[in-house]
Amino acid sequence: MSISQKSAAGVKTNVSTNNGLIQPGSFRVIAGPCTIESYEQFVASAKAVKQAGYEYVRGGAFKPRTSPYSFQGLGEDGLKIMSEVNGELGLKGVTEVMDASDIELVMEHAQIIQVGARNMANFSLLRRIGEAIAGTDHGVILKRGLAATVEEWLLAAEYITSGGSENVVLCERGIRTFETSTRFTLDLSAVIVAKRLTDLPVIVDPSHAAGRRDLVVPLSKASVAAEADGLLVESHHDPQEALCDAEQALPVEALMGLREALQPFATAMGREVL
Amino acid sequence: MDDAGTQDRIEELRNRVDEVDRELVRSLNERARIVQEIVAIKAEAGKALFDPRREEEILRKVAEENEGPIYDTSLREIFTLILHRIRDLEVQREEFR
Repeated sequence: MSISQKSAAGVKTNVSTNNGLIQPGSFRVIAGPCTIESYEQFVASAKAVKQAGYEYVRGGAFKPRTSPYSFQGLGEDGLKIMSEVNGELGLKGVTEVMDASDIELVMEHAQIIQVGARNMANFSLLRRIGEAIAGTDHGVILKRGLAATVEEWLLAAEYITSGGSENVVLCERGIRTFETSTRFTLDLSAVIVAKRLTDLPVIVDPSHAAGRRDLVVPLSKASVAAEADGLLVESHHDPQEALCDAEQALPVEALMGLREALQPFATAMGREVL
Repeated sequence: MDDAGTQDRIEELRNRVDEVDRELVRSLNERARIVQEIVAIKAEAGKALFDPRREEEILRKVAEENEGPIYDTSLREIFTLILHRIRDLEVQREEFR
């Protein structure tokens, strides 16, 4: 890929990963619940993702909750639910790993390993993941730490890519600022800066950044315009009953409308929503 | 030294500092121009600008060649800023949009 290759809009739209997660000229949407809560909940949410036409579903089995007394996720049972449901529906899974001893287990059940914002600076974990995914089709989504500079984020990615894998995708998820009307402040300039400096694809998580669902679609549109290569968005078949991050999850109807909302912006940027 | 003598000596040293600063500015821009040439070649070859390995190599060399009185760690800080500011200048080039 030549760094000077540009789309009609002058944007580097041709970055990709070897495993198909990010494809040239496309905008990848990954949706799904914050947490895998039960078979019934995950299958309902995953069906909505499938019905909306997306190929990748997210869902946490190991949850890095701020309080040790909050729901911590179903662990291995959750991973089994994910791979069973994804097998039935033909979806690919994205899930977080928090502990290096769980990497192999997570890779058995999901295609894409997520490294959360709180683990971005866990360099031994990053190195182990880089070694584990080298030579496989598994990929990593590396979230930006909530107080990390772009430079620190790119160096964290280097810990993974130095293991040999090129299937690494950066994810901007908002940073801590003085603003309180949103949970975090989505830093779209970081998306552009990261894309100027590297060939790594960059996606955006508007759900965690905003912490409220009314901002998710507008921020998703802005992400397309800010040259992002995709979205990681939270959706739930019944947000009212969700065990975590209920206020930021898109309900099914909103998820169904997301593609239509994004496509005009994607078209202007020379991309197709996948 | 009397007051006038002190003032003259400071003035003389300040002139030397100004001369060194002029040389630094000239050198930094010379460095930036060389980097521009490298970046043009990289853009042609499709290589990314972010290169932490090369950066570390430069910083290590700078510290190795340092004879003081500036601390090695301080020089690394100064050079990190130089490296990044020149890189930022290059990021804004049309080829990388």
